[in-house]
Amino acid sequence: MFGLSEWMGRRPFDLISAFPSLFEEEGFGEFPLLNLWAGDEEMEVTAELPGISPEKLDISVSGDVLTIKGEREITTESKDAEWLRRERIAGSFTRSLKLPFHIAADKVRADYSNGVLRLTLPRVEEEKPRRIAVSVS
Amino acid sequence: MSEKELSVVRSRKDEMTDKPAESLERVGRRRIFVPRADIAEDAEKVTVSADMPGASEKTVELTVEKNSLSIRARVAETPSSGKKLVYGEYESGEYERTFLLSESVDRNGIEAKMKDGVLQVILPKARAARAMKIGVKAA
Repeated sequence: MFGLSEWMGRRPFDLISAFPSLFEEEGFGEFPLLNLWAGDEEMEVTAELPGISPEKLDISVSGDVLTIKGEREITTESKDAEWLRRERIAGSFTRSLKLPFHIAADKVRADYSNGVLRLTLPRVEEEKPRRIAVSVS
Repeated sequence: MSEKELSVVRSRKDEMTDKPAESLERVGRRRIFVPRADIAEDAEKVTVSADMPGASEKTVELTVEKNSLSIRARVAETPSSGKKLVYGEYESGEYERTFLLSESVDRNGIEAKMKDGVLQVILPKARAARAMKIGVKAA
């Protein structure tokens, strides 16, 4: 289990946040917003992503970097409809996150429910901390 | 995360801090967020679409009163099975928002659907308010 000091020292957050100018006018730097939860053997990343098709999400893992790409589409249902108010965020997004350990890509689980994306990222087996027994002579 | 980044992050999610004088005081620690909403109008109806990730059709409540439509939703706390939050860009909480309705909404025909954290409320326009097409003939 890594400690918070290790986390803080490495500055592991965001490598890249590519954004269309659609978001810049609102002063947003990143979309979607992410939360990271740490456990002993795996990490969880959650993101609020309402109204997307999960099959169109592009989630990839390479070493210790997680990348989430996708697009949120918002359209009026009928052709003759017009917008009276637009507040919700739409467009394509990319976020990359550098984690404190290498991820076992084949064991990553992803779940999308009620507009919340949850990714479970297990640590690569070789990197799990091992207890070292001390022999007394 | 530096202090400056923290304060920028907090303002991203709109928080309801100014409450109208007549509203009840809330008991409890959950924060209340104002969900972002889009409103579209066509000849027959007005559609309100609100982003409320984490809410489902079971945890959302709609109330129609004389002149207003209120939407409220609870989001289940997800402590993520024994894990600790080490980096948080957003908080979860309840959602609440009230919209004023004009008289031209047919209150009996209001419908609501919830999918993937998006609430869609369809407000049909009352008959009299629907646009009537008038044919123009050449004289």
